[in-house]
Amino acid sequence: MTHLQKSLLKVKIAAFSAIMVLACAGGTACANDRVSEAEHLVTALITELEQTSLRDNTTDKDNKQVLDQLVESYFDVDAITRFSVGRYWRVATESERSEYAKLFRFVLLNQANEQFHKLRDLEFKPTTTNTKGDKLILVGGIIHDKSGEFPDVEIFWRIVARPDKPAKIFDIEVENISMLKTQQDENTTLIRRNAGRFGALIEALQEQLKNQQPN
Amino acid sequence: MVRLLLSACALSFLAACTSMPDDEKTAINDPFENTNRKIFAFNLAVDDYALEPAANLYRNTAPEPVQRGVSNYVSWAGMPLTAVNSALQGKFENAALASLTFLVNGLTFGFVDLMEGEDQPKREDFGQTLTSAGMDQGPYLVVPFLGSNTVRSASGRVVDMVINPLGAFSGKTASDARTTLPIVNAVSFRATHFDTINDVKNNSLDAYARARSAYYQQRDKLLQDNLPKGELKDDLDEFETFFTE
Repeated sequence: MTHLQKSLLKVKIAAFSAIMVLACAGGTACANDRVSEAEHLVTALITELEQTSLRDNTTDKDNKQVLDQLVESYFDVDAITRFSVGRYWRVATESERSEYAKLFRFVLLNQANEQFHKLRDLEFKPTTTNTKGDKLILVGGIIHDKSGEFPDVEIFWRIVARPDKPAKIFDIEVENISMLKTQQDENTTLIRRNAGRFGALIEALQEQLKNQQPN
Repeated sequence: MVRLLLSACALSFLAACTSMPDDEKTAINDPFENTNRKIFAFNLAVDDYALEPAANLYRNTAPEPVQRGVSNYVSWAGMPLTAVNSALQGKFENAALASLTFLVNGLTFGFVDLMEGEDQPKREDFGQTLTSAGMDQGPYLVVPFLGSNTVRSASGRVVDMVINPLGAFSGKTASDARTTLPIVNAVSFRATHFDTINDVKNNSLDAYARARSAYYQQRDKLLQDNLPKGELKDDLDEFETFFTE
């Protein structure tokens, strides 16, 4: 190898190294952006929940409206709905899917509304954030009850952060129990026990919704 | 004691007979679902008529320091078992920590946690020891009064009752303590998780399925460091898979 060839090789290696460093730095910066976005999303939700729960003289209807807006802004409702029925989403008809999505949302909002008064004294202390694959981020922390009524609870927020869309909450894991996974197991068991009939889940939700209506 | 050991052997045998192929190990394995549901309904009735009222009374009447003391006592009484099982699994640091915690908090009979703020030992039971030994978890079982288990964890519970070092203490007081501990534990646990358990009972489409799912998720997390290498699984896989489909 001549002196010139050696020099050219050195330049090539240097250029390649520089490109790799820049690429890695770019990737890290991008990952860091996603992590910050996910952390910010959780903090913003907690702040909004806290402010809302501190408002006085609010009716059930007001609370539900606020919760509905929060769900729309912060949660990936479509993905949650699909995941919550597992493989049965594929066998459901279009009308069953839209009916289920509507009912599922109503039921969840009613349940969240029942717990609304408990949000008043809660605060979130973030602890760790981990990326899981290229789309999911786990934001971990402790929910602390300032009133001292409840012990501290470990919580993880599973955030979907796709490159082309704003980050949204996909799941909440409390003390190692994923809310969404539990819902999926419950829904799929119900469908399975009704010979794989998706309509059985819709009927059960309609019944539940009827029972949740105030007398 | 012989009867207990025989029960444990029988349960272990059942687990061995029902071991599943590797590709099905992550799925919920519930071949006795119909029987389990009947026992679950029985347990719910016990909760309705005994446990829930007792827990409600306890949380509304016992002052917070008393409740904390009872919770500390229950945790303290489990330390000898954690020490034994940790040693059996080769986790000697955890075994030493559990023994130390038992000795130090023993000064207050476990009612005050003198080790608060220090490293706490990780709870280990014989079900986890069996997991470390590579035993398959077997089917899901609902046990009367005790609730959710797998065959492996139920076998572990039986063995834990036999090998519990607290059993070495004789005398009426020790015997009374052993008899009342499970009841105190049940009421304290129910009181601590009062709203969560009521939510499962009252707001589920299928309370059985929800309780089973929660049990598997919690147990899986607890067993993460007990699984032999090669069986470790990442529970996020299915979430990640969902977004790659």
